[in-house]
Amino acid sequence: METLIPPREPFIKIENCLDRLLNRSRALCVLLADISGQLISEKGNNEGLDTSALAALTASNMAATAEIARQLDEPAPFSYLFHEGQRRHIYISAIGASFLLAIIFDEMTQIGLVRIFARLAVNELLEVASELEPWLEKASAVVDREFRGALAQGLDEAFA
Amino acid sequence: MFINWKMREINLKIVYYGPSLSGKTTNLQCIHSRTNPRQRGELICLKTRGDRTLYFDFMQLELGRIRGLKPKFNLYTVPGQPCYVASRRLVLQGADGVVYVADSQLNRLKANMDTMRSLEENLRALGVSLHDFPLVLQYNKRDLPTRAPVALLQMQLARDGVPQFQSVATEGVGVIETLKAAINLVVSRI
Ligand SMILES: Nc1nc2c(ncn2[C@@H]2O[C@H](COP(=O)(O)OP(=O)(O)O)[C@@H](O)[C@H]2O)c(=O)[nH]1
Ligand SMILES: [Mg+2]
Repeated sequence: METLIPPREPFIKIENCLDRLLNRSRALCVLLADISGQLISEKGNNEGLDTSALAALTASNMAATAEIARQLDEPAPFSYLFHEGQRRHIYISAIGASFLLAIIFDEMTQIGLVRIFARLAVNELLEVASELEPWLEKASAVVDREFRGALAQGLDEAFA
Repeated sequence: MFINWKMREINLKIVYYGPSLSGKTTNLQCIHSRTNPRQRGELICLKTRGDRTLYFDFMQLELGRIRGLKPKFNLYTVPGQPCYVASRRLVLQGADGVVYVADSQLNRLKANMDTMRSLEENLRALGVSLHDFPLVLQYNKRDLPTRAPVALLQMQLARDGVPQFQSVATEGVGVIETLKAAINLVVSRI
């Protein structure tokens, strides 16, 4: 079977941006997800973290607080959220209307630093995200009869 | 549907929808227990003290690569209680397909219909028509003596061509069949 070659440009930009953010902010781990909770990219030490679940939870967290903003008669959803733990903290920022960035950090850094570099990254990612969006939709090019057949078989095997 | 070119993954989001206590969480628990731990993540349940789903339940299931792409299925349940409209809507966002879990009990007929209507409304709010949306129906709790005849449930909930399954989620009957049908339906619609 043919293997699909992904377009490189936007992904390299995203990777670089997340790497820079991780290094400059000295965070443990950064995640890029879309607002429906799908993980797009992750960087840093994700040991012991279920990053797919984290993406789903942060997206719903954003959506729930958007509803809070609406109830408070705010003109727009909150642009970021910050949860402070005893050891680890998470900073979540919206990237436009379609994506979000989550930064997990500990005592190696400070919220002020995280916030500054998050803002820089969000600006960069806003540009790349618009390049990326059409690619996320290119599903029909991949899913043909052969793919469907192989998928159905994979499902049967998974639940044999 | 979401192709992650960087991680070489194809992501599908399937939402289990239905009235409260119809067996949505039980479906996910069953799927979770029947899959190889290497092929799935943790089952995350956001619930109240009374064990009712508050936000959603979530689990991810993955298969081996097909043509270089790894299929990943993000399975969600929504809370059934009418008061959680906002959280139902947010879980439906980006959904590729819905498994509607109906409670077969006679005294839940109205709840089933009300919830089907709410599904239609919530999808419409997201700009999607239930009519052309991948939907699989599951008539759950077929083990209970108080179950309604399938024909009656069909009349109230099914439309032409919608795949339908009878299940006893607590015993794992019909659960995997429903999931497979939903995934295959979603993929056939792409
Ligand atoms: N008898 C019977 N009970 C079921 C079945 N499926 C679920 N239940 C029970 O119904 C209750 C509600 O199930 P749950 O999955 O939490 O419902 P949810 O609100 O839709 O998530 C639990 O006590 C389950 O054990 C079934 O097929 N038969
Ligand atoms: Mg539940």
